Amino acid sequence: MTHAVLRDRGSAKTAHRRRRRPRSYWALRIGLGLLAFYVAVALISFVWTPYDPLTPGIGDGYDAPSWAFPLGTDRLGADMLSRLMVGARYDLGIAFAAVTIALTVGTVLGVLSGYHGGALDTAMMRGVEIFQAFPGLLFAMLVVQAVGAGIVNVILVLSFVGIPDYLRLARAEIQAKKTWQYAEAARMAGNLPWRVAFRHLLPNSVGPLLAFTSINAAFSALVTASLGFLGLGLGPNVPEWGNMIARGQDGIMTGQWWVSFFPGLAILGLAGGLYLLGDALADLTDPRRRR
Amino acid sequence: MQDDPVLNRPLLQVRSLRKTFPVQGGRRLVAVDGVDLEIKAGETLALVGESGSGKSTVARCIVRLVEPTGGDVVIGGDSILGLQPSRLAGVYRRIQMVFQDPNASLNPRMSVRQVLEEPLSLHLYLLRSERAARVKELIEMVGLTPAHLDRYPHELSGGQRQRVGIARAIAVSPEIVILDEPTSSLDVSIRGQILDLLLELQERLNLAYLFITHDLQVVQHVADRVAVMYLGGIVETGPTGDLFADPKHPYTKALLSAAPVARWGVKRTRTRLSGEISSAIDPPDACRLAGRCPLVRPSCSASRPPLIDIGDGRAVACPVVIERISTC
Repeated sequence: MTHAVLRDRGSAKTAHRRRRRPRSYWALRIGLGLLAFYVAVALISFVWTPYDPLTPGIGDGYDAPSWAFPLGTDRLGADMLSRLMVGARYDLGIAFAAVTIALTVGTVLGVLSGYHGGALDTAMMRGVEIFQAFPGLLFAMLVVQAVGAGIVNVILVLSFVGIPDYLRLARAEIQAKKTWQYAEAARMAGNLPWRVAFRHLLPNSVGPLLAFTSINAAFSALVTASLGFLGLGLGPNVPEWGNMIARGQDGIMTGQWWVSFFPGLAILGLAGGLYLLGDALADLTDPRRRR
Repeated sequence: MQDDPVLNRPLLQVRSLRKTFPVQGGRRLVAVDGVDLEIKAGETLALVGESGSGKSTVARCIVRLVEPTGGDVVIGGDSILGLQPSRLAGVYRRIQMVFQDPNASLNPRMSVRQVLEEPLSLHLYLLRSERAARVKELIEMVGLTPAHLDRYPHELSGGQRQRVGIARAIAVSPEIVILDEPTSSLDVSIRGQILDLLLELQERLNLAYLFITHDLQVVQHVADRVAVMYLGGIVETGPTGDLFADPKHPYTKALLSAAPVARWGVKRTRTRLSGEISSAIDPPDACRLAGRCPLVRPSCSASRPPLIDIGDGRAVACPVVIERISTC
């Protein structure tokens, strides 16, 4: 009898999976493909670029895309393709570092908040609410303006902006699971409360958190580029995509569209790919979003 | 031997246990209101009552999965309220629990072996080989085979899962096991097997059970003594046979007469209660049954009757009943 029930449930599950495969899976494939492409470009840039990205005067300045310069050159004659390739390191690396920090810190705080509850939880949630009342980009601009530009500052401020989201996600997951009987059973098995939270509950909650990292990475890349565009991010000569768009602004009105267009396309592709991936992962890991 | 105060001391004593939960509007839900219990080594006390009577809350308070509001819980002579979480782990070597729903009480990411090894490695300091031997012994004690050790909960049937839950509870050789409706989420066909297993283990390991259930047939089958709970308080206790044969409290009478009897030709008088179970939110200081009781008197609403000893190990919380006993 129970066996029959179990088998029924099993087949229902596969039917489910079959139905949602088309939508989630193309998003997953495109997202993963784009991410892999960017990672590959960033890695290749360490060993090979067509020209030196930081040397001006390789072309005459504002060279249109050609066989020599597939994506053209900027105002000072530096090769756009080389600069874009190196830029992938910055935008991906900053996003990756910021997401890692935010995921770690936010999850730990969220687990504590959700498991402990009470005054700690209330204090954390009020803090998060106040913090989230500011738009993330605005906050990042203010902080970078105040403490100064630079890659470490940008990473820290981005991770800080990301923490509340992870905190909320982790807290919600743990809160939903902490009264589950296996949490109580784990207590009786001799686990201390923190071990129940981190060893028993958290591993059963990683799906939504991991899915969100992708969306958070997209957001981080966009903010990095926005800061660069506003001249608040990295130094003006760093070939970061936001910087490059800002530098190419002048050219747009006079017909040299490629200087801004290609970095913009690069950001669009990266952010779009990460959003698709994040959405697909959320579909696959979050039972509430399964349809 | 019989009079040795240490040996005769109850393993578990619950004194005036109270648990309230805050509800909306600053009011309080009184889930458990002054419960006293005692369990001696090797005996089974059944705590029965309908849903919402607070019997599961009592169990959770005893092991501090829920923090009691008041009263005391004494295990082997030591009060466990106020112990730090790190000291509480030592208490869990003596008292363990089998949970109601084995689907929910096993971590889906842990294999049976991991489930059984965890209490062993956290409570006992065993060599790796000793631990492996103990795990094998445990799985065989609950009627499964070592082949089940590398399975995950979703690969087991409901009955097998509950056997794993039982093995986990007895892993550290506790003296008391709380059974929180251990069979109520199982197929009827499997219940009997699990009950037999529990009885067999009790005999073999000299376990004391606090058996929480609403299934009266099960109570008759396994319990030495019964405590009947209604709305957070115990209304009657006594040895199982006596209590079933001659219930005293009007609520016990109603509860027993509501259960179906699987025998032909047995005539019985039915006691029916009128109305619904009353609210546990901010209850007045009165008998909780006053609104539904066939024996009700004005004095029943004046104060909450205490549980009074009537001899033969029995006690009833009803002054009307006690008066009748003493007059005849």
